[in-house]
Amino acid sequence: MDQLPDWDFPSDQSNTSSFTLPLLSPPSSPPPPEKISVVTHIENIITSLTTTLAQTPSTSSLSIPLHSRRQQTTYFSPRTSSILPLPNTHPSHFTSTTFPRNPRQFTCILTLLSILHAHHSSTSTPLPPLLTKRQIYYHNPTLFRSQRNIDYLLDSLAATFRLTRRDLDICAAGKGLVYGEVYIDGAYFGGEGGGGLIPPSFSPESVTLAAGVRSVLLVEKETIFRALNSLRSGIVQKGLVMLCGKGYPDLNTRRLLLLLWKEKSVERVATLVDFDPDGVEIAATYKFGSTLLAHERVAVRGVDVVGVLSQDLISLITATAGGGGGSGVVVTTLTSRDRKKALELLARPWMPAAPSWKVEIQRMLFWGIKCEVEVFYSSTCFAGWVLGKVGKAVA
Amino acid sequence: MTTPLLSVARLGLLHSIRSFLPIIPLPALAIPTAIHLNIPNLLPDIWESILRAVPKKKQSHSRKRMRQLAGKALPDITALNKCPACGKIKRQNMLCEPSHPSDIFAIAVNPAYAISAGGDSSIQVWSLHEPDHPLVHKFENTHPLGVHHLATNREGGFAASAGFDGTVNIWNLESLSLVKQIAKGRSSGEVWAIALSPTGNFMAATTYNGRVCVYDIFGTGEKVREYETKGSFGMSVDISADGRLVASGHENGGVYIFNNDTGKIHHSLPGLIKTVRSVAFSPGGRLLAAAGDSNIIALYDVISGEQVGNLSGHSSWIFSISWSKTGEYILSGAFDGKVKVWSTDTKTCVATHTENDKALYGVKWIPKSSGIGEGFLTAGANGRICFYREATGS
Repeated sequence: MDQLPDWDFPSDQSNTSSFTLPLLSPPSSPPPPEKISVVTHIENIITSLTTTLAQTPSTSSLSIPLHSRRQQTTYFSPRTSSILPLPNTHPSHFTSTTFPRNPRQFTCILTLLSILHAHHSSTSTPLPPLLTKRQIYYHNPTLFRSQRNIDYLLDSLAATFRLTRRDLDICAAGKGLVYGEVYIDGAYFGGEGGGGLIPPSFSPESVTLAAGVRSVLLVEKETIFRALNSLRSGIVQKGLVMLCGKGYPDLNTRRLLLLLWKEKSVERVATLVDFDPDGVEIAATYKFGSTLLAHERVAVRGVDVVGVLSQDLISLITATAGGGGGSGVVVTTLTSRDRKKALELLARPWMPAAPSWKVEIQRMLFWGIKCEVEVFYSSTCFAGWVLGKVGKAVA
Repeated sequence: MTTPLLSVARLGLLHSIRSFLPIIPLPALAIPTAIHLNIPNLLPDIWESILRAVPKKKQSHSRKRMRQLAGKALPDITALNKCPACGKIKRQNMLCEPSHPSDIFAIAVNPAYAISAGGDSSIQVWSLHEPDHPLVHKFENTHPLGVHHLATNREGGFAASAGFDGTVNIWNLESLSLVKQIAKGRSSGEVWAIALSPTGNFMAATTYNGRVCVYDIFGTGEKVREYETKGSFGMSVDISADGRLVASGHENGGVYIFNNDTGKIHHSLPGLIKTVRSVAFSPGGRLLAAAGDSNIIALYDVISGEQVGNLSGHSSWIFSISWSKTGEYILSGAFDGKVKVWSTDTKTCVATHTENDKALYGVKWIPKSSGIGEGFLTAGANGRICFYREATGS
């Protein structure tokens, strides 16, 4: 995994002794920041629980603190241009699950820890495959109650250990789509096959890009992906790989994008999103990372929005206005939810790092309109339009 | 023509002053005769534009030099001065570019100043009196998320600014200071478009859900009137010259007139089905102009509520309209960057100007009392303010 320089904060080391659980005991030799294995982390928790029990048997209150994932526990780092978790120095950054008060959640965490411990300490060869979150849920559906609960706890555990979901050997069912001259785990995603779901278990070694691939086209919606995933569209010929996160992207899609950008030959990531506040936020999720998964550190600085931009609308509006109006509603008015979301975005900490996005959102608000990519889909040559946009951005 | 205002023919000569346009000798601008400057290194930008300003049929360099030696070359630009804001040398009668680093969403004028604000958090005050319109003052960090509307009162003492964060600041334009902040801490969506009453005591504001509220600025700062409409986003608002009527334009095309004396709706005006982005009472208070996405300016009789005219000719959304002091002309600025001057008598367009294809968000006549003659200013998506004025000379 990528080791960003500010992975370990110096303040992490000073405060751990005063804290009940030595979850963050720093590695003995700081220069190579070697991660504590998952097994050690889990055993640390169990040890501290038993110690508490042994020392104060009368107060039969046990608690497991998990790092909370909120805006207050993250910050925007302009240097790395990404959202990062704050150092775990303050107890208020943790939410504790206490035994007598919250028995079900406490049991859930212990069960998860035991599943993870068993998985990580197995010595079989070959190594056991990745656990999916769904598999874990089916260990005990009556206890876990909902998949959502499990997802939340697993990501919180990863944040507490300062590891990624991948380090825990866990993956989610794939949602993202990929198309282009790329091989992942031996499967080919180009040609007339139309691409497919990103396999959840890829590793840096198992992803191979064709020689000519220099940029990635990121699309927001599956419909746009389907419109472009054939040889006729010219995506492949232009040396593009297309990724689609189906709305807000899952971790897997973002990890693949980071891998392509950081370790493969990809230089630019051209993003095609709707001209609405959600479109901007989706692009921001790729570019700066998200608050909830700040500990995963998947932010791709190279993400660049190529459409739909406000200047694309100018011709659209003037054209429809000239063409006798009223015929086709191409732009829609903002709802109050959109306006609220746009105002939230304007106040985001990463906004100063993307001044052109700020202008786009302000125009959106002032014009009072939004526009979907599909509007351009009806125009004669959609693929040509997209490629023109990407070409302009890359050149 | 004997009218105190400029005639139609002279309006056609209104001249826009811009930096990057190729230098074309304009007799109307009364430029002094050529003086050759031997200091090109001091004026690199302008010098380059002179070098590039060749006639359409390109002449050879030696030919051009011969003409220059014979005193027949293109005249040099001599109307230069320093930008008071940044210190760079610029052409007179234009503002140094760009005035704002992002779009200018709103402009307002009073007899002394033009005020501009936009996507950055500052509000800038420009002098109207001097021919080169220097920057007089800059209010920094007024609204952190940007400013979307500005308003001044007719008497000119106060200005109000509405920010994306939902707050409204009231400014004193004589002392150039902040008077007070109203609507602070309210939920966003309470204030969009704003207008000030002639004396500056009251402010009308539209809301996201279509209400129109009148605030008592210098009293409690609270609402004194609240008018309900059908719930469509309130895009624009205006107060009549006597302060008795309030008009609002809405996203669904609705135009309403309210009476402040009775606190009741005065008229609900039909006719427009698309978003109304600007409404304006005539100076006499007899007519109301409304314009927006339907590309026409509709004129209504305020008393009867009848639609008395349509001004059509724009080919894109109209963002802003402004009445001249006498009510003889209407100025309109559109999304495609075109600004048009309309005669209200003949209901025809008498002049069209285009700077570029960037949207214009604000157009305003310069008040006659500013002492610099008739003219107007425009601002929009290119972040610049352009001053147009009546051509001087003959």
